[in-house]
Amino acid sequence: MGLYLKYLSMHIKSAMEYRVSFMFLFITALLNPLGNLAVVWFMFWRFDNILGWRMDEVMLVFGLTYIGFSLAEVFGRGLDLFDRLIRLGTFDRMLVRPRSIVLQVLGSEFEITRIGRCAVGVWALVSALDSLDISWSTGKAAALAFAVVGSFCVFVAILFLRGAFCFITVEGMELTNILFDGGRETARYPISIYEKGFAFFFTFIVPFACANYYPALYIMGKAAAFPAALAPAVCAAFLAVCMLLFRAGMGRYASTG
Amino acid sequence: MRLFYSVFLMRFKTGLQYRVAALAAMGTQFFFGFMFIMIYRAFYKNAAADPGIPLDQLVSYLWLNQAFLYWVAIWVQDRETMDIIRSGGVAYELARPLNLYTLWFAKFVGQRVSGTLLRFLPIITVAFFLPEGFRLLPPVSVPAFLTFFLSLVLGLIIVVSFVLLIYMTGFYTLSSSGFLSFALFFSDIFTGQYVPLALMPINLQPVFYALPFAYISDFPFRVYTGSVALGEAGRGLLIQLGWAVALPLLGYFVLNRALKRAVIQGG
Repeated sequence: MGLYLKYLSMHIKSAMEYRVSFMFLFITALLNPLGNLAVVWFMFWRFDNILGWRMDEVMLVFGLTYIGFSLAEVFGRGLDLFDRLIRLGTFDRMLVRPRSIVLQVLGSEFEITRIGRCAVGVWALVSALDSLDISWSTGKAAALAFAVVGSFCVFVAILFLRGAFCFITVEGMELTNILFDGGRETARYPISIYEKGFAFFFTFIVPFACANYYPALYIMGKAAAFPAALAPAVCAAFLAVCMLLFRAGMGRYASTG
Repeated sequence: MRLFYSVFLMRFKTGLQYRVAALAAMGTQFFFGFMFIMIYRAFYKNAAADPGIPLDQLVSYLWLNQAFLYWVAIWVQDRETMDIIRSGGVAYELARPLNLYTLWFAKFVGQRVSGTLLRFLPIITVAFFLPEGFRLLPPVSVPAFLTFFLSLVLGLIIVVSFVLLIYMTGFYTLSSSGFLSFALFFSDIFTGQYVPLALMPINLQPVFYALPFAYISDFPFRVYTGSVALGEAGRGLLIQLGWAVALPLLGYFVLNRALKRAVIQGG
């Protein structure tokens, strides 16, 4: 952990050396999530609900998804650029160091400029919670906290899966791109609006619904605590499986040169 | 014209080499197509008033957009051209006895046409045979189809000349990538890539349909689906033609001016 913090401070210091460029990247990184927020806003300008969900209720789900996504982008950038680590042989250097591989990969990149995207998610979440008039309890607060962590876990897990693919094919990870970007766009809305098979996939296989939909139902008082209580376990299990696949891939790894 | 053709053909053949990339991209496009349709279907189920475009037309619109994405999307870029403007490599391009604007224009058109030819047929074919409610409908009439085709070609001229205009800011700012991010963001809203323009707020519609962006993809797709009737299409086509002439002329003028001022450093 100490080593990881050291990595982080190193990356922040080096980013701060280029202040203008930093500010610029920071602002342009905001445009994409703002656009996606605007889409939801425009849709609710025309329609007043989506299968019974009002805009503030959708915003709760949207906020959870975007916070998880942006944190995964900031902290998981090393995995996101993992194909580069392998192609340039940087990964081989990591293998010979007597430190955890996962830690070194995660520490190899840190995209602080994307942290602003998190603010868009936080803003959506806070404005939703503010307008929803929720009767808070310890259970609900815990559900909210677990939902944020769970959402982060699902996105990071997909990045690990992407890393696992890199060991086998070196290039071309379109499938995990669909899960990461497509999953993010899917998880903007409550899972209940989708067709059954699609919803099943994003609940039990890639458990986005466990990270946003079920906790949101519970927090809004639309469902009992039971399914929401299981949700963090599902997210954790998904992360564990993806990390195992990453390990397994590493076992088969033959250097590129 | 012959020159234009051969540059186009060269770029076209290069584009056809990327078959695996095109196959992978197709998977993404199916995924997004289905996801968007499911979202809009859910919105339409409880819609109180008429939302501005019937659902079956909207579904066709969304499939056309996925099928012709590489033709119409502003994010289809050519990094090489942007880099040579910044690095000064443009000097080599100038050494050729060709007009630079024609050269780049042909290159960009070739890139988009080859990319689209690799992608659109499987998407269109599958989308035709999907179950009711997810299906791409045939064009409303033969004249509508011909108008659609014509406006799609004019749309290509508009999108290519717009992208070239963005690149030319690189002559003045040395880095057009920042400007590009902003241009992409705003043009995605105005082209209807984020939300089809028919679903956008009604009082903004006149603004959208005066700007060139609506005529890149939104207008052709609406003609195909019948959301814009043939009777009204004539007026749209005229505005589109106006932009398709004005933007390349503007680009041509700006480029020649920029090149006159440009100082190539180094030897």
